[in-house]
Amino acid sequence: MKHLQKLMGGTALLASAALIPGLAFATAANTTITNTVTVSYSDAADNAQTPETASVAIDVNLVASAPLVSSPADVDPATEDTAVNLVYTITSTANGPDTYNFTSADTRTNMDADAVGDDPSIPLGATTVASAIVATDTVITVPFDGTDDGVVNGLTDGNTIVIDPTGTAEVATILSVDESTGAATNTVTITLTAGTANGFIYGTTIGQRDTVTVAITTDTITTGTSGTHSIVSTATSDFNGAISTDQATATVITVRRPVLTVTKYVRNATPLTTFNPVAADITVDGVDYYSSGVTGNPGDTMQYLIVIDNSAAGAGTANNIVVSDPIPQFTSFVASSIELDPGTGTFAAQDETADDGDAAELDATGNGTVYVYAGAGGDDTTAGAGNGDGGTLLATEVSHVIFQVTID
Amino acid sequence: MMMNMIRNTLLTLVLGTASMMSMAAPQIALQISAEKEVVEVDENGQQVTRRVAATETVPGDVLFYTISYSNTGDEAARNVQLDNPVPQATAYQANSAWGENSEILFSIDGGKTFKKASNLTYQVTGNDGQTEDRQAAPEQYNSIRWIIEEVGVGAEGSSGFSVIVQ
Repeated sequence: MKHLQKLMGGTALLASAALIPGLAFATAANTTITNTVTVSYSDAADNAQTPETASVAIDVNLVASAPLVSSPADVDPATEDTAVNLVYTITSTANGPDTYNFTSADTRTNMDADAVGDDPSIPLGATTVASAIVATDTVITVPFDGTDDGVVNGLTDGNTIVIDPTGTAEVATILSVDESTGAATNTVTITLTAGTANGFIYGTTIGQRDTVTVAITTDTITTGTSGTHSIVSTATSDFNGAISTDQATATVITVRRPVLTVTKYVRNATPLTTFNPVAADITVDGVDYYSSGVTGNPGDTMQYLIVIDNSAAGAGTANNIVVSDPIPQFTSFVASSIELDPGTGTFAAQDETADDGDAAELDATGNGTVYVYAGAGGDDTTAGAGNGDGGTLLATEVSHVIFQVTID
Repeated sequence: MMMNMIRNTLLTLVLGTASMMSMAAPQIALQISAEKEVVEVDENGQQVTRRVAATETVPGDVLFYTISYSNTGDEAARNVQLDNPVPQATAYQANSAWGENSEILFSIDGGKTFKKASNLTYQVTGNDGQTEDRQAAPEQYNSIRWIIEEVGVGAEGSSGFSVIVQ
């Protein structure tokens, strides 16, 4: 017997599957096929006798069928070690309810390891048309699944269904399911929110459509500013693990990271000074700054420029940028001298008072340290000097900070 | 007095027997079974097709129905007629109906009228307004009838047909 069961599960199943050209046309799972024969007859004197009947019932099983699975759009940019949600639309093409298990495979470039999916599952209902549908019908008849619970083969109020998913693919919404007629007629009715646009023949597949969110967690970039995860998710039938659908087009997730460079320049800002070199190393907002060669007398005002650059090719967004700059020895910070260009090209003065809501503060400990929450959106409101929230620089953006000291 | 009693008793017995004789009647016992074919591999590695009782099925399966009848009464049954509508969600398989000592008729109008397969036609109206008779295809049959002239006392027989599950 064990031998037979094994064979029925294998060879025999293959034999019957081969008879099915496709499930575009089939009887719903959990339908009961009842065959009743009636015999009528007479006695020798031709007196009719009471007829006899005999019946045999057979239940229709689920035949797993590869679902229809969408290909989500590419994602760019994404960040390292972050969950990226890919939303798939999945449509059943089976003759009854089944659960579909998602798995995801990655082909990566310049990433340290494959991305990891969270492998969600989703149950989808399905049935078949039991009485031909005429265009504009709002009530459709489907086989009874044996249980009067308002859910027919996994389909219930509010579900989105696709009639003939592999053909005409008409999308409809279920308003209500009435199974009260099931026991008597072996069929039940589904009422749609709107009439159908098309007619459908008896046996047409009706599959539920739903969305599944697959969370893909990115890995780290091997070198440089970016790498890619190329994701192909697969939806596999829970009922028959040999039946599955891969998304047709891979979803490419481009992971980018910021590559900030920070450079410091200075100029002697005392009016009419001759202590600046002839050639500027950088000019910002019409003012020249120098990498070296600047001199000054005691009492001269020196202006520092800090350039925070996120313009490396392929870089990602830099967040939480905090600049800390100790005031040099033998100099004194000039009150109200801090200015910030958050990446827009325009400087705005910043008060050095701690926790006052702008983007800079001075920690007066020792010779003092300037903190600037550079980029866009930074602020110093968190209590205590140096505890503010850094700002953001998008790819290609550059932020500038200036402040002044006097030579003691 | 004693004689009267005996006579009455005998009379009752005779009458009783007579009334029992008048109750003689045919009684048809009816059974139906469903089977499907499974392919097995025997000990020699040969594929063997075997029929097993079907309690569940999938679309595409062929189901073999067998109707068995016997006359368990004490009089022959005459004009025996077996009517079997083709089950919902299945289609009759061409030339699959069989039956011992019987005439087999089919219906394409839900069992209102039965004809021999060769006489089963339906009318279609063409574009030119002319009606045309067309031969019914086996999958259009929706009921099957076997007519058996007589099933004698204790006699038994069988008939059947097969369908493909849609």
